Amino acid sequence: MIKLSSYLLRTRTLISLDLTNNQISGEGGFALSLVIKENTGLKLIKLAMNRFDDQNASLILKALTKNTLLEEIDLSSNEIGIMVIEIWFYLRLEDLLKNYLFIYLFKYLDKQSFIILFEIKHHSFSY
Amino acid sequence: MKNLICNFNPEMGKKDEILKYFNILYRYIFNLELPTYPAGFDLSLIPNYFVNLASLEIKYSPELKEDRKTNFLKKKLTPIKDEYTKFGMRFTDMKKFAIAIGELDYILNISLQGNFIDDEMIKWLSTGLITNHTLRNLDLSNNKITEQGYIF
Repeated sequence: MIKLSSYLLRTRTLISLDLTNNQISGEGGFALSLVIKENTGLKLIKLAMNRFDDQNASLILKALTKNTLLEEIDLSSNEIGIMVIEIWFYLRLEDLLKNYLFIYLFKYLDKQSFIILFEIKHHSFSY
Repeated sequence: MKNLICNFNPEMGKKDEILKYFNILYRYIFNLELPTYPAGFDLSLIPNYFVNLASLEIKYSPELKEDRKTNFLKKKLTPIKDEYTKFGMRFTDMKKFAIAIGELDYILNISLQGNFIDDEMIKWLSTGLITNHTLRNLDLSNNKITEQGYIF
């Protein structure tokens, strides 16, 4: 994963990266947050169905505030707690919504699907 | 062409037929899709033959594998254990592929869905990817990448 992220830091051509349904967690999430922080021209990252926990999620969301080129990120079906999402989307909403079109954080809790979807263009968000 | 390579069997003697098509068409092949990774397919040969390749897609679909498995069971040619080792990408294949990536000058999309790529293989893949300067879309979904690649 660290090798892959060292490639991701160097490349200037890659636009979309799909890492759906892998088992990335821990240090992998940290490495990805460094990539997102660096503004490498990535426009779409799919990280659904991985094993990111609260710590990784907050690192990635923190990195998102510094990125200006990313348009869409998918973090659905991870092991992210509801508290992290709430904190970032109520307290730091302005930072996050500067540049993004879509942030997906589909969360499954107690067999009920919990969906947060933001659309900047229409200024509407729904659960 | 796709079907020809996938159903390629060295015993059948169809090699001449494939080569006949290939010699006419090789400049105009832009997409290469392989629904199953053929056994013993040398990935380092891709840049030699597919000169203008823009997108490459290699999948490992269990359905096709099961078809083959049942076929093999019916014919009783090989036991199931050999079948598992025959399909899917291996470490040595990825090494060859990593070398090949740098030579693909016009590649835009690479998709390696569900090839059981683990951290050792992703290490080699990303060293190969560094030498490439044209890739736009990279799809590595349904694999086995973990954080373990961090530890050398």
